Amino acid sequence: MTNVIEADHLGKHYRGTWALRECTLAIPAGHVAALVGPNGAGKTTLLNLAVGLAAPSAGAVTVLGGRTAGSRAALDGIAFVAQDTPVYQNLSAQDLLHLTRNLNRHFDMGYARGRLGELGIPLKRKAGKLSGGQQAQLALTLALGRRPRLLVLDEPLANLDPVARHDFMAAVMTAVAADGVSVLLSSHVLAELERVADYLILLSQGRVQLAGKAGDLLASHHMAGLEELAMAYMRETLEVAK
Amino acid sequence: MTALTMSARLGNDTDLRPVPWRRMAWVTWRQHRFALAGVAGLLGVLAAYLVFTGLPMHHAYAALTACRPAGSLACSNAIGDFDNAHWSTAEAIAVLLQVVPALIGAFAAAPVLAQELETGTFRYAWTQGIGPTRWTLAKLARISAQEVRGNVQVIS
Repeated sequence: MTNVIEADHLGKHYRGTWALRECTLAIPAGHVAALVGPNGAGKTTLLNLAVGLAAPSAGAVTVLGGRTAGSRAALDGIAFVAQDTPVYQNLSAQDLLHLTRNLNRHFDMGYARGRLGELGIPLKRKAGKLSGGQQAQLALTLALGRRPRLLVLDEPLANLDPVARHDFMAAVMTAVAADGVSVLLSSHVLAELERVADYLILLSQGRVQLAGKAGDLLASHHMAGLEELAMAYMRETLEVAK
Repeated sequence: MTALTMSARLGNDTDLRPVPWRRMAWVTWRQHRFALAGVAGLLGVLAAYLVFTGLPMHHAYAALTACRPAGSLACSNAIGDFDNAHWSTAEAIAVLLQVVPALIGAFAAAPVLAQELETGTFRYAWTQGIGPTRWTLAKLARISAQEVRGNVQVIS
């Protein structure tokens, strides 16, 4: 079993402060891993390092069994949906599919079109004219069409209404069930992750507070749910900081 | 949901070939077709102007070199007339040809990258399989090619 992400004393320094420090992690393949923590905990920093949008200030991070983060071999197997699901607003859904196909070695056009059809997203409509939920689904489709081994999602639910949140997570879980894709998603909305995540990484103050399989963590801490567990840890670290 | 069969599962990395440059050229064209067409249009207008002013100038110059005897008063006067008629135009064109590429760079080429950063779409673009380096190179190459093509068209 390979690790989809391995970080070794990983750190990132921004303008005088450490956004992330001494982060050592190994997330095994085949999980839906939730990266949780309060705002400013370093979640986005860790994800940016994993997908190669930022370079480490200290330590190292590899993905998909030892590939350097951000290398072409790494990007080939990772699809990333950033916060606020950015897509080119002035291009149609159809153009975005072609665009993504042209930027990758693999793109499953039939699957992607089929998905947009099922979601009722018109191919000719410009992305900027779609609803927030539809834009998120479009961004997810562009990512899944690449048939990644690892899907990285940064706060995918932050700007969605409850129905869109549910639909988005359902789409992710369908891909997990059908393709066996590993998922790493960050969120500060714990309730949505409770049902889907089977691996938890808790970040606070730029440090990993807790990481492991959900079942193991709950058993060892005598807790009933991930939300309760995460909340207890976040309270504790915030108290210590004061 | 449709059947999500994984027929083309990522397996062997060694048989993967890089994304062809020509596909990236399509991407750039699709995203920036108005800017690229605008630059082409602008350079086309400039070329037309150069032909329009250049042909009479060329004609007058040919007549001037044919003037015999070369040192005569009539020929000197002709040279003076030629200078009066064309000097300021030629100077203006020389300045224009230096300024226009810089303006195109500032108003058409620079936003190509700035827009990605401003709207956050770089987080999409730079995490695609093609990789950020290749993406940027291909994009700049395509836009430069358009500019060079336009400039060559102007000069010739």
